[in-house]
Amino acid sequence: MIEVKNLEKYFGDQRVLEDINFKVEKGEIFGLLGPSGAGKTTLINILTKQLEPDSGKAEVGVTSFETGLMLDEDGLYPRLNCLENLELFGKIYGMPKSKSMEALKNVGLEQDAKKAVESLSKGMRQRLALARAILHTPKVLFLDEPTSALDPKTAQEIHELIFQLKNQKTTVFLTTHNMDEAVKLCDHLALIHKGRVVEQGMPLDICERHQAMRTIPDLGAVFIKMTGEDIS
Amino acid sequence: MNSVGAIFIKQSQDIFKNKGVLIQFIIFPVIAFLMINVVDEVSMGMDDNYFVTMFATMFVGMSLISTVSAVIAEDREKKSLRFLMMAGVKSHQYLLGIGGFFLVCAIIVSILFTTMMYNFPIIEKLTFLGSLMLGSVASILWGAIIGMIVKNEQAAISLGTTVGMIMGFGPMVATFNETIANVFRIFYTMNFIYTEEAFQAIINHLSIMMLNIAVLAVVFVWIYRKRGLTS
Repeated sequence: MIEVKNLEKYFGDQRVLEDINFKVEKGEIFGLLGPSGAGKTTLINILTKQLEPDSGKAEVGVTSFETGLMLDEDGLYPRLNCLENLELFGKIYGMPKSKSMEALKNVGLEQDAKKAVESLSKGMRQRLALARAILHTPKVLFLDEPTSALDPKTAQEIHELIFQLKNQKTTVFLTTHNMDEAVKLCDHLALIHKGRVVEQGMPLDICERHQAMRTIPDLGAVFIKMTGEDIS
Repeated sequence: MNSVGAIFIKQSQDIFKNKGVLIQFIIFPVIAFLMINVVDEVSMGMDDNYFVTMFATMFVGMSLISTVSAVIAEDREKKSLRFLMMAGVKSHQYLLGIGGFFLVCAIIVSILFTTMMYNFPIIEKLTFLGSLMLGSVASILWGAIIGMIVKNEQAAISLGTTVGMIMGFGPMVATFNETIANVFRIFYTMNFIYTEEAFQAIINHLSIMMLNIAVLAVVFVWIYRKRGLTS
């Protein structure tokens, strides 16, 4: 579904992505785990065709219309209400009005449909942004730090929504710097550090390979072992 | 067409919730209405309908530039535009939706102004309305250019207001100074047709306005191709 091969990206003289290789199969949740500045968002921008790579290839096996995107910056219209925000995209996608309300119900915001976005909490905005990303039932969903700055309860709600999407055979590509989240959500993940993938595979396999299985799989220990730095 | 219509509707919903923008479309006709009803222009030595034509010029020259530039810059700064593009909206569709909406607003406000020109014959009202429409197109192009080149909404407000004040207030300042009047003759806001002299040189005024639109359109296309909307 997604294939990245020998990908490199420079910003001026600075190499921000170096020889990136991985594959994401249909219907799986793939995580890109790394600290801030590792190149996660740059990679998402390349996969969503907002940036061009300098070399290598980054292929997503669906059209841009079949992808959904949720970024750290939600891009919602603050003065419009939740429903109006979704209806705007519903009209662009040529979908019936009822789909917008359905999407709000899916993320538990139907009671807040008429609330202006600027009056919503950060968690509610994240849920609305996710509703917009899945409004047109995309085949591939890109989530950039979907639970950053969220309280544990709201993060849990977002996780449940991501699992629901997986059950509907949606391929999910997410970035995170939260190790517990990566272990919990991802079928496969890649650890990225200073623009290079330093390890990849199934979360438990990675931890076992690096003897980082204590009471819980310890991806943090793997990251320190591979890079010498703490992910946080 | 879906996308252009969706952007148009989005903007119409947003304007009623954005008091900063909405007031710019209300304030000039309201002030003009108050002034013509409390000041006898002719006895004060002014031209008949001085206030209506002056405030209409200010509206077209100033409000449209500052609002269009601020809306585009805000959509870019808050990344809303990025999501529209990801949903398949093309840059030209976005600009058509925004520009089309503000042109409709400008037509409505301009009609309001012409209804206040009590002593003008209908043909002259329509000619004035037509010239305001051409001016509105030029101002929307100005706004789109500024919205594309600035880094954020704050910068758009600063630059948009400055250019808007020059375009909108220039004709009023020109009435006090012949040199300024000569300089401003090349700008579209000095060429709205409502005086007897202007009617006699209607081709000349229309040509200058069309030339303004052509130059702004060329600059707009050049910047659009060079920078795009989201860069």
